[in-house]
This record gives sequence, structure tokens and C-alpha cells, in this order.
Amino acid sequence: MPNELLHQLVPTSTPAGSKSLRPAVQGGVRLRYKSDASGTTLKEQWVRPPLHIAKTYHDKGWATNLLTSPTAGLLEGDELEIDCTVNANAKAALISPAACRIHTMNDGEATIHQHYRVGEAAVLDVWPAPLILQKDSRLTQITKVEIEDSSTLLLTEIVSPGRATYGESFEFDSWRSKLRIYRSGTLTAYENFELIPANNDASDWRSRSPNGPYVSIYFLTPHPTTGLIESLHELSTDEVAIGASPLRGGGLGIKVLAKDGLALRKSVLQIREFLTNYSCIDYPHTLKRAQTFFYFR
Amino acid sequence: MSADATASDEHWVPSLLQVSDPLFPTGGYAHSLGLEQWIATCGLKTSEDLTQFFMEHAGPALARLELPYLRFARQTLAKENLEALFELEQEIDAWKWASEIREASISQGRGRLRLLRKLWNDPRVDTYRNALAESHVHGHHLCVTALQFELLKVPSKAGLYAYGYQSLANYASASIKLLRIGPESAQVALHTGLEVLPSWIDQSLEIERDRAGWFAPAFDISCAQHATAFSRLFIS
Repeated sequence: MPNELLHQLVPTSTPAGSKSLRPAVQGGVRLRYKSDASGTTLKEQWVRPPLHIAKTYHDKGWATNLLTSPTAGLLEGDELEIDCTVNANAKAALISPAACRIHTMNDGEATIHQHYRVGEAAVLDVWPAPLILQKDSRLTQITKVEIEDSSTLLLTEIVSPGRATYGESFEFDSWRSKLRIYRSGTLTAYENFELIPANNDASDWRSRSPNGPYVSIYFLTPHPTTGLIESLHELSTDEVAIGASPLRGGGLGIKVLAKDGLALRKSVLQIREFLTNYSCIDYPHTLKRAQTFFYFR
Repeated sequence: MSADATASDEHWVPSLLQVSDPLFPTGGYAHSLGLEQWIATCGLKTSEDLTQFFMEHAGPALARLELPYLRFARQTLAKENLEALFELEQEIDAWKWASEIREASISQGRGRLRLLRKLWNDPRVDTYRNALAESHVHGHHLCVTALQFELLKVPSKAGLYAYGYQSLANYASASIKLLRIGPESAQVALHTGLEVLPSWIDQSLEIERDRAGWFAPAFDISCAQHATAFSRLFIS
């Protein structure tokens, strides 16, 4: 697969000044799903550690893949690149069932690049377990999504501000994120920020969720979503704040601040059930078996 | 520099005062721009609470997001680069996540554009208005304000001060209806915010396009929830 990505995804040496024992890695995954007579098939795949891709589940015309990392997270200098194309009429789900720790760093940062393309009448569900920003960690995420008016996207991102069991909370150095979602070529959602808790950047987050996780969900569908908003807001409780807002050109952006991991799991499952029921798409039961972070705790 | 030249250089001042005055009918009085639901959510009560809102929310959002974009918009207008302006507006539309805030911006922007066209006969206003009619732009308040500052020849930093003042003053005005505080207490909070405004402006000048942005999930959630609130005074 001679392409630019392949040349980029190679192990590198330990960053200068780093005290990390293992060299930084540039790994990733490149996937292309295609619709055919048997449903959806993973037609192209390329994987480089630290990511590992398990055998594809086929269910109800979907292809579901689990992405895991044996290192259980990213270290200083690590770069991950996820490049996924879902061709017209195909249905694919990418699940990562284990939390991804962004480990403590001496210097440098970890980087995650994501690029998703969703073709005409295709469906993509990206449902990872949380990213955990450990003490003194630095993460940059760059995400680009290209989707058509007729396609469906359920893109979930969960970020925890530290290891709850260690009493760690907002001790990471920085979290930088840039997300762009294009619908039929038009920029419909844009997030760009750098959060440095030491600069008091996290006061807003902490005002509603002093130690709990943040969830962002983008739900883009060809169907109108205005009627969903009030019902989603009614899922808010003392332990979880949920806001849903229509995007220009259709679909919803949903933000959640949860008190803790339990409230997080409950609210994400409630929201997903709500959205998947509404989408008029038959979601496979395999998703529940695959996403063990949410279903088997 | 002669006295006449100085006077000539300051011709923008009366116009700036006019367009910055609450009497200038852009419809801003109907919007709290997220403050109403934030007060309900966080239980703000006093002018000190309003001051804290300025320090932790309104000010940083100005410094990291809005003022940089105002500067970018003026730069594209000064270069008469319409394509770049269209792209910038699309970006602004996309980062205004809460639809009420997005629509409030468009409502105020279009109101201001209408007045600009009526009061100042400038081809740049017509060009922008044509772009709006052809759906190349949405009419966001930031871009229309940038256009206004360009045609009134308002110096760059003075424009940033005026926009910053208007943003804080809009919140202060809404607070009188939302909190049990009087106009004098609101002015105390506004005064405190304006004391910090120079540092927010200085910070904004350092921010490049690739770095412009602000993360406020709790405020965003609150703004979204306002749209379905049981009762409310303001449109946003």
C-alpha cells in the first residue's frame, strides 16, 4: 500500500531529552469498508503497532472492528493515525473497548490524527472508551470527518481528566484538539482549543463536573433531529449535564459532563439508545458485545 | 501633526460611539447570549458573581476566540479578499456550537448590516449584502462588525476595545433583568471587566488563526438547554 501514510508510520527513536524507556512509535490503522452482496466487507486494512485490529464481526449487514493497543495508551512522542473510509451504502463500526491512557511525560506530547470519510447512504459509528489524561501528559488530537447528506455518523469522544482511582484530576499539562466535520463539502462543525489546567482553562468544565469526564457526540443523519433535543435534555440529572444543539445543515452536537465513570456509562448508553432508535437504522447487537467498557462492568 | 490633521484623524470617533451605543438597534437587548441559563444553572446572584462570569467565561472567550476572529475578518476585508471572508464566516458559523448563540449572532449581524446600509453609503456594504443574498455568508455579527470598523476607519485596537465593551455591556444589561442587582451594581461588574479588557485584547493579538479557539463545555451545555427551558426572558 504505497502511500504517504505508510511512509509516515514507522517507529522512531526516543525523543531528545526524554526519559522514556521505550522509543516513541508512529503507528495507526487504515481501513476501507465496502458494501457488497453479503453486507459490508473490510476490503482494505493496514495496521501498525501500537494499534491492533481484531477479526471483523459481521452482523445485520454491518462490519464491526475492535481497535486495541497492547501498550494501553500513548507515551511521549507517540503518534497514532486512524484513516477510515466507508464506501457508499456500507455500514461500519469502530470500537475501542479499553480506555486509552495518555501517560505521564517528561517532554513532548502524544498525537492522534483521525480522518473518517463516509460515502453516500453509508453509516459509521465510532465508539471508543475514554481517553485518560494522566498527570503531566500532553495530547494533540486532529480529527477530520467528511460525510455526505445521505449518510449517517455517530462519532463519540470521551475524555477523562485523570485516573480517578489515584485521585488524579486535571493534573495533565495540556489537551489540544482540532475537529472539523464537513457535510457534502461544507464545514458544519469546528472545534479548536487548547486546554491547560494550570492556566485555569478548565474552570468551565470543573464548574459542572469537578473530577468527571467530558463526552462529545456528533450525530449526523439525513433525518430531521429537532424533535430529539428536548428528550435528550430530559436525560440530564444531578450527576450528568446534557446539552444537545442542532448543527447547520442537520444533525446534532451533544455535549455531556458527568460526575464520574458510572454516570458517564449510564448517560452514554441512554443517549446512544435514543439516537440509534431514532436513526431508522438497524444497529447490530454485536456492538453491545464488542463495547465491553460500557456493557460488562 | 497639525490640530486639523488630528481632528481629521478622529472623525471615526462619533461614528464609533453611535454604532457602539445601545440605542443602535441591532436587537441585542433581546439576547442574554447564554447568561440567562448560566445564571439558572450556577445560581449566580450578585454583581461579584457577574464579575466572576466575566473573568472565567466572557473575558477568556473574547481573548481566545472572538477578538482574534474580529481581527482576522478585518484583515481579509482590508485585503478585499472575499473568498477568504466567506471561508472565515463558515468557520465562525461552525464553531458557534449552540444554535441559539449562532442564530443570535446572525440576527444581530443582519440588524447591524441593515443600519450600515442605511446610514453609510459604501459599496463594501452592498458587496457583503449581495454575498448574503447569494448565501455565501450568513451575516454573523463578528464579520459585519469588522466591515463596520473598516468602512468607518476605526483603528484596529479601538475596534477591539469597542467590540469587547459591547460584549461585556450586553451581559451587564441582561444581568439587571436576571439578577437582583441594580444598574449601579451592574456597572461595578462592568467596570471590573473593562479594567481587564486591555489584557484580553493584548492576549488576542498574539493568537494566530490555527490557535484561535476556546473550550467551554459547561457553558455550551447551558446555552443548548436554554432552547428548551420551561420559561425564559431572552431569545438566547
